[in-house]
Amino acid sequence: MGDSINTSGVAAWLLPAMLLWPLVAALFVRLLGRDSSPDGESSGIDARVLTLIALAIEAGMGIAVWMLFKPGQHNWQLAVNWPWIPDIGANLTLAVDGLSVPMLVMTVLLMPLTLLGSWNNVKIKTPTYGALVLALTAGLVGVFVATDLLLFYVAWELMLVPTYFIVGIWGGIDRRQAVLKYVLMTMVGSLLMLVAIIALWSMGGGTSFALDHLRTVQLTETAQLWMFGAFFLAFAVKSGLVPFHSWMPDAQQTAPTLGAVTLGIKVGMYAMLRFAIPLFPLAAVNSTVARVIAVLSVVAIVYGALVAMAQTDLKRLISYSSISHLGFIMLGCFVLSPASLQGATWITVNHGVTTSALFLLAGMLQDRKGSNVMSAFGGIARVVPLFSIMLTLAMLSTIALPGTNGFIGEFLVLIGSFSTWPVLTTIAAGSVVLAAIYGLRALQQILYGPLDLVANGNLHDLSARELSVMTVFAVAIVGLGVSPAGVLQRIESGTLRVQQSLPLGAVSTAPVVRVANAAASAESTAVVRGLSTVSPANH
Amino acid sequence: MITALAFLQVAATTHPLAGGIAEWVGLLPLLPLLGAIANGLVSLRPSDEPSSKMLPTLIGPGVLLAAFGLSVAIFVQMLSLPRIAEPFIRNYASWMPAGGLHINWGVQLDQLSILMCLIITGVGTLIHVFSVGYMKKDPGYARYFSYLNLFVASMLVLVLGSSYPVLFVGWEGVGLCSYLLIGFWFSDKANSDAGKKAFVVNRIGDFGFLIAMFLIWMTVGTLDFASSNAAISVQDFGSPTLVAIALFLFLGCAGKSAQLPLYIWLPDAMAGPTPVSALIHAATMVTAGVYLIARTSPVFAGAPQVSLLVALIGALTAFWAATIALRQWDIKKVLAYSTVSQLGYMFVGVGVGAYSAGVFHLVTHAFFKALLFLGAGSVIHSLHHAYHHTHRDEQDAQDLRNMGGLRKFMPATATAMTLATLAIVGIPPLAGFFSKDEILSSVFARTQGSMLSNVTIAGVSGNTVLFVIYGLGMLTALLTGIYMTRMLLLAFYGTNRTGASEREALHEAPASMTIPVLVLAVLTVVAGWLNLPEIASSWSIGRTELLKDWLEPVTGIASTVLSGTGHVSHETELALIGAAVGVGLLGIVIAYFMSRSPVVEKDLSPADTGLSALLANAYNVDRILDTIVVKPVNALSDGVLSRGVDRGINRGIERGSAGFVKMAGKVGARLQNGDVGTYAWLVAAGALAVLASLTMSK
Repeated sequence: MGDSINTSGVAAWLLPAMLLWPLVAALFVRLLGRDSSPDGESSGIDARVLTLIALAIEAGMGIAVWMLFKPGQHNWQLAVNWPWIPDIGANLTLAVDGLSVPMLVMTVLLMPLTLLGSWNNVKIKTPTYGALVLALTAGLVGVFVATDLLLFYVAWELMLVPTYFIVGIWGGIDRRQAVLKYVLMTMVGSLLMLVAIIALWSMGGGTSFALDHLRTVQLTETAQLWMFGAFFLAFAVKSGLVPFHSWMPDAQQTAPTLGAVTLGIKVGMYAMLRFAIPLFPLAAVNSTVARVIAVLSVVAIVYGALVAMAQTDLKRLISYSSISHLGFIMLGCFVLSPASLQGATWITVNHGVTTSALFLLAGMLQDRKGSNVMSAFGGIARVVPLFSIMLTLAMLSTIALPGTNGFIGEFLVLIGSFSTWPVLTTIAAGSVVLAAIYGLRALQQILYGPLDLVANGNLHDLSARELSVMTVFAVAIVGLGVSPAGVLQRIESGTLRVQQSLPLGAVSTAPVVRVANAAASAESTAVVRGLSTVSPANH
Repeated sequence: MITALAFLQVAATTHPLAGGIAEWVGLLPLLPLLGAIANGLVSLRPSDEPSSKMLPTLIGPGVLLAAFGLSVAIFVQMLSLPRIAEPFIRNYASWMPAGGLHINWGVQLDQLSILMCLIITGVGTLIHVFSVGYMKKDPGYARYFSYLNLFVASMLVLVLGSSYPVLFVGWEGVGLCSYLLIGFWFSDKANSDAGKKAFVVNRIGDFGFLIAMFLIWMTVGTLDFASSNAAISVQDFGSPTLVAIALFLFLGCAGKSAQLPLYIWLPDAMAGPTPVSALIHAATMVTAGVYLIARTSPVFAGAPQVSLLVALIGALTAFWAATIALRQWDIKKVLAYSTVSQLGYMFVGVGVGAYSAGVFHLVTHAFFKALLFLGAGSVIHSLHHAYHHTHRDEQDAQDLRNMGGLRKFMPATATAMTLATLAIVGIPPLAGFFSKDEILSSVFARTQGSMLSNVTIAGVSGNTVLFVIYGLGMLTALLTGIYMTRMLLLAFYGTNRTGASEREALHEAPASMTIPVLVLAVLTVVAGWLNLPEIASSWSIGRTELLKDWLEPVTGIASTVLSGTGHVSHETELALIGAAVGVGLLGIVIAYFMSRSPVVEKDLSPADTGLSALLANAYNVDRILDTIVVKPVNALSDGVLSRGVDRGINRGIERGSAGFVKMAGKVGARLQNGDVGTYAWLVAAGALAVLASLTMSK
């Protein structure tokens, strides 16, 4: 599918600019920014303000990408191909399609909102913090726009370094241990992936790292299985698939709000759909692989929900709920039906919205009380009504209430997986009960019951800054839940490409519409009348 | 699918309702939704501002009245037309266009949905007006009306949705509002526990609904009611898929409509404000399961063994709950178990294919049970006031032992409550008599040869099961007579036990509360005429079977399939009616004699013992479930998985990579020594430099 549209004019600079701008801005923030001093006399420009401006510009470019993207065309768009390291055939090939555009735009919008929503979460060494946040943004953007595997790998690892420092410096108790575990686990996975990338590159003649080239390399099923395994492991660890999840609650609990939010972006699952499945289609449709992954997914869904029920810390609860949701994405990805793929992509994107909202709210509690232990609250709904509304709404999205964005993804994954794995899907659907238990338990412990700690009576409700950020999330949660068609349309143009990469006949299609015209009145009554003529004696 | 949709659109434009007032049907859920948003915004303002009371008082009942007016206008238009055979469908926008699914935000107007709209908005308006008086002094006044409006909006989406997923939006939406309203006074942990329990148990049912949707999609490739109902053909009759769909749908119904074994949330739901119990937990939301079975009647007609099971579960629930109601002291608990029991009757009706009878009982029950709850609310309001008057707040204002002789203080409420009690017991010519009798006589008629009498459940013949259902129905009628009369006598008759000084403060409720109760009392008397039995055609008291004829286009065919040729003679039918009224009267007499044993106020009463205690504790079901379900699940979640397996995995990962950790520990140590910020910056810059040099090295 080398069917990219050659881009010209300003649009050609858009993706490279999105990749490079945060890196340039990082330099400026580090050099020009200052910590805002507590007495208000600042000796320079507040680094957080500079970072916010830089991230807002990045978000503006993201919106431009959204506008320029043509959802009806199933190919690479806004593509550029600049030589990078010609000796080994690595190019700066950047492009987007329906799979990456929603992820890219969601992420670049998320970054400034998260920074603004957690404004007072980080107050020291803000120039370094700002620079790291921008570098992290560049890494995330790189992962979503790279169509060259080496460039992807560099961006993938680039995310690791800033995250390491953001958590390691500004995190809470046990931050070093938690972040080390994160880095080590993801690096083991990544190194295996690097080996697979190099192997694939050499099998492809050692001339190019381009995704479109490597997809055409003829591989035996065994070779595909091995390389797929390496990619899968890297992506599964990064996303927190059970049993590789244990870094996630630890890191997200201790991380500053922005760190927890960015760790929650499911880059691994995007990469699964972008690289692992199209590069190794024979492995992806292998029946054993499919069965193993389906079982793992459902185990993750139920396991994550059950463990979430036992959590006493809000951030850990969010983390385990996110481990449970990852199971839905994984299930949807590998059933490979149209609905399940779109549902999986939808969750990959919307998980970023919902989980970020929850981590921001948890961070707001932490900024006020220095704690996220749920029993330290209780009955605060009367004290902080705006906060309560936002927490309730975000939690309802997590438990997939219809009308929120959370429902769309789970519904599409489950309905798309049912005909392939009826029993497993039924078990997965059972998690709606468990989600209600942990979600409502958290709401009750924090918001309801008697206000038994006097100090909590003085908690401040959301400030204007916090309220405006959370309002954006609230609008997104309800807006996307009620009117998902625009995003779904873009996602569909991406998931169609994933399906086209598969061997023919491997894709389960939508059920045959038996009643395409049965809505026709005359026919329908005739059919039902036929039913009524069945005499009791026949049964 | 696209062709099917286009076809619907074409059909819709030529529909007899097209172009008329029915085009505004989309406004029905929208009006209360806007009310909910407006009241929600008001609730965020300080509650001591006068506008925080005045605006909700206008908006809350106002949007309901407007929606009721619109429902009536649409209904009148439908009445003025010859029988409308097809539902009027309007698609407003595409909702989930994904993977072959083409789910629209669409509404479906037909005889069943407009009937539900009339009940929801009509009874809803009365209860909103009642709430103005009942909640007047509550600091959460605006929040209350916001939730209540949102509930009505969700309920209207539920009954108007043209597809399973849109119905599901309303289905879970009403569950959410129920959760919010049960836990409305959330400072009391018991209340928020009750709300949580309601939501979680409902979710078990919702799980069933989801699986049913998946099966339907897999089988017929559409989730619209019109096309999926039509797609069920002769070949599917009794097929395992159809049976599975019906079973999972019924699981959803059992959760929402509090049937065995998922009824356990409803008694606890009484923790909410009493008007909420009247609207949500008696008149509307809990009847959603009955509505769903009527809506999907072709599915259930195609799976007769499941239909029979629905009727059996309904009968068992009716009987089970009625026995518990015999020995409840909390006036709201009596009514809650009574509601579970009456819902059981409705499921008997729709289970045996008497869809119009089930829906008829839904309608009459909405009137008399809403009345009973509102009347109970007036009583509680008055007692609360009395105790507050003498600062004896600890007294239980809901305990029947603290009431007695209230008719002297609250004559209007007492009269209305007496009428409603006679109605629920089934005394002619009150509404409950006609609807309950219709259900029981339908069950009996099915034993005379029908599709249902030919199937078997677990080896037992359908006919035997039908007789068991009939027997349970009659027994329940007897018990209903006993427990309802007991409640009425304890509350309103005999001597007053509220306390000497409190007695002076007892008073009739204000007009905003008594007027809705009296309107419901009138409806309780006359609603039977909506569907007089066929046998009454010779009595010249009015047209017979109006409701049955009205619902014919929606449920008629399925009803015919299940009922077959079974018919009973007029003599037998009269005897059956006589027997049903007889057991009800017998129940009243038994309750009267039981009431002669003295009752003293709650604080002086001895604890119940033996069977009384078992009934008063509702067979200890909650405690048993706590032991065999809740505690094991929590132990699995916390002890086994969180503290056991998850820590084990964690430790394994840590040990497995011990070498790495050691090595990295050194890096960590260096981090602790130097200036961390600078170090971080250096690494980031280094990474940049590497990237840049690679880029330049061409």
